Formats: sequence, structure tokens, C-alpha cells
Amino acid sequence: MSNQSESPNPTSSSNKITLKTSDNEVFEVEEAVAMKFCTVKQYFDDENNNNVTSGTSTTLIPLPNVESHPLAILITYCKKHLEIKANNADNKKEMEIDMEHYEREFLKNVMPQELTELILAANYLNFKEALDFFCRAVASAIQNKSVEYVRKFFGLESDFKPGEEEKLREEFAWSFEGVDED
Amino acid sequence: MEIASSFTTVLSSQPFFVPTIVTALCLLLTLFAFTTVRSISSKPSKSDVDACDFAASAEKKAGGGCDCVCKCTSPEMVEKVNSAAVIAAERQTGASMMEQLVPEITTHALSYLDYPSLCRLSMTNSLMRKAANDDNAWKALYHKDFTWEQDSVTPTNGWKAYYAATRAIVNINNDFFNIIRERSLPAMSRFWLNADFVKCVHASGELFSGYNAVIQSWQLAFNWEHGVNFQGVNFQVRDVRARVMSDMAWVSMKTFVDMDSGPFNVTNTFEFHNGRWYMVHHHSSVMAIDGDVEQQLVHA
Repeated sequence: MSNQSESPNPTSSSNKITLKTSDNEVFEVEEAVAMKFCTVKQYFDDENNNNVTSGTSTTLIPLPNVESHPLAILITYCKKHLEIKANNADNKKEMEIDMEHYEREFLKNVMPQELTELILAANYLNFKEALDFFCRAVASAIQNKSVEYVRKFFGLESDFKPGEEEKLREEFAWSFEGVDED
Repeated sequence: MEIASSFTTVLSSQPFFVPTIVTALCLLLTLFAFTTVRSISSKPSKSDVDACDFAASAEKKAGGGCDCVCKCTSPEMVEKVNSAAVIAAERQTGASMMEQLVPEITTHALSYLDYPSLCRLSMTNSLMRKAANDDNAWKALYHKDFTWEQDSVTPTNGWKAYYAATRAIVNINNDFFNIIRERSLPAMSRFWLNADFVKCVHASGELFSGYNAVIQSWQLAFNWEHGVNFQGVNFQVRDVRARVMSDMAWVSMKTFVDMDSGPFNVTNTFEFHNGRWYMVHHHSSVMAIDGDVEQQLVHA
């Protein structure tokens, strides 16, 4: 590991893993959290296997495709995810309710813009639960909303020719039934 | 890829008019930020910050041709916003983020949308229309909502049209069972095509051929204390599989009634005439009991 000298030398390296983002920020996370990121887990496992013979252990894992901002959010989400899971180990229903509640609160602080960043980061890290969650979030943000609301949400402007949109609206008139208020 | 590009390209659809677009977007996004961010914060200053962010991103997406119109550096604001939106604004990554979304992800996200929402998304602008009409998204939706079968099928008019056609025929097939539940002979009479070739095979094994004979057989069934085929009206329909061509469709399914009779294998065939679907064939037969019926009930 060429980057190892930059490692902040974590005190409890036995169960901590250090991640370094593309913008050179270093995050020290618990192993349980890091192992939810399949990309990190893969890297970690490979390194450990290689190091069995050399006797060294790697604590710093570079993440060249992830910036610090989404990673920080993902770590928070992951910690909470694990916490909720641990608190309701024997009650799946309860766990789902807690998780849903947390996710609802979580989304209140996320801008549409950030959602894209988070999706990309979750995708790169192969953090499946988060990727599912963010994709669902994008969908539910525009689910059952009016055309105008969706435009506003994504910051879109109509570029249809005059009459074109009216034609579409006529064709899909049924899709306007029961749309939420903006 | 379409939705990926569309999410953003929308902001930059015409690179030649970057300044105009950026100005317009600033206004639009300020409005957007103001209306949406209010839930996060009641302070107008935050809205301004977010507007900056969006304007900057829009500019970035437009090709990064001009300087960010405003910088938001007040630490107090940054702290208040409690999100990296501001940081994101100052980070110039070049290619827009939405453009980086791989098709699998956009399909994944779109697959959580229901059918009308996807339809409305397609009406926001031409790029979204392209994304929302993305065949892969509709194929995924089809598989999610209907069946994993027909994976090798290539619908003539694309998956969106096939989804719509399948949904229509599944709804009509449901109508058939509602008519039986309500024992409505007038509705059943309208449901069938008035032609001499229509045929109906009831579970009893009797065959009725021609419109009049078929309708009479339903009249008889409805008049009985318990229907010929469906003892009681609380039967359930499972494993509905529809195959739709331009003017004909066939649907297979299983119906579960009670322990005394059935379950049944049912096939319905429809033809499209004068703008609507008509039933032209119905076949119901007792399912072979080979010990896995209960299993099917559990899994259905």
C-alpha cells in the first residue's frame, strides 16, 4: 500500500477501517459499517488474503470514485441501519417500521441534487440497501405528482412544440386521475 | 442512459444558449429552492444558498462555460443548511452527475414508479419523455407487475405499448370474474362477441357454441343456487398470464373456489372489435390434483 504512510494510524485498528475519498478526506469507520459496502469488503478480504504471508495488515482503503460528502451521509445511514437492525433483531415488523421512520426523516434533509451523488456513491460502493432506498426515494418524490411538480423537482423546462404537450395530455388523459396536490 | 442524460441534459439541452439558459434556470431554481427548501428551513437565506447551489450546478451541467454566478461561503449559512449542497456547488467535476448514472440505476429508480406516474414523467419534456419511454424501464415494469415469462418476446410497438395492452386485457379479464360474482346476465351478454363461432366450455365439460347458446349457458349458471362452475362467489383468481397481439389476446389463469370443487385451469380468449375487447372463448376445466395444489395455494 503506497498510501499507508498517510494513514492516521487509528488507535483501535482491530475493528476500525480507514477509508480515503477522492478528495483526500479520511474516514475511520467500524468494520461492521465498512463491510456493508461490498466494494470495500471485497478489497478488504483480498488484502487480508494477500497479507497472510507478509504479515502486514492494511487499514486504509482508497475510494477513488467516492467523494467525502456522500460518503459521510452513507456512513451515517449505514450506522443507523445497523443500529435499527440490532435493536429489533427479533422483530422484523418493528424493524421495518423504525427503518421507514428513519428513512422518512432522512429524506427531509436531502436535496434532489444530493440524491444523485448518493446513488452514484452507493452504486460504486455496492451498498445495496442504500441504493434501493435512494432509487425508491427518487421514485417516491415524483410518484403521483403532477407534471408541473415533477418539472419543478428536477428543474426541467418543457421543450415541447406548441400543441405537442396538449396532444400528449389528451392521449394520456387517464394518467391525470387522482394526482396529488402540488 | 436516457434518464441519466435527461435528468440533467434538460438543464443543458442547448449548449449554444448557455447564458440564456443559466439565467432562466437561476430564476426557475430560485423559485424551486424557495418552494421546496422551506420545509427544511424557514430562513430565506438558506433558500438563497440553495438557489446558488442549483444555479451553479445548472451552469456546471451546461458545460461549465461561465463562472459560477454566486459563491456561498458564509460558514454560518453552510452550517445552517446542514447539507453539502453548497460544497457540491463549489466542486467542479465537469461531467454532470446525472449523466454518470448508468442505465441499470435509472431503470432501477423508474421501476419503483407506478404506471401513471411514469406516464406523467414522460410529459415533462422531450428528454424525460425519451427516458420514461425507455424500453428497458417498461420491460422491467412489465416483469414486475405481470410476469417474468415472455422475456424473449420483442413487442412490435415496444414494451410501453405492450405494458399498456397487457394491463388493459388483465383489467378486462378481471371484469369477467366480477360479472360472474355479480351474476349479471346483461353484463355477460355485452361481454361476449355476438358471433356464431364463439365457444364456451364450462367446468362440467359441456361445450356451448355460438353466441345465443353461450349466453343461455351463463343464464342457467347464474340462476342456479350455486353457479355451475363457481360454487359460491368467493373464488380467487391466481397466476394470470396474458399474451396480447394487436387484435387478439389470450389469458390463462387458475381459479380457486373451495375444497369441494376445483381448482380450475381457465383460459379466456378475446378479440378486438370496434375499439373494444370482446370475449370469444372461455374454457374452464378441473385442475389435476397431484398433491401440489395446496402448495400452489400457499405460494400463490
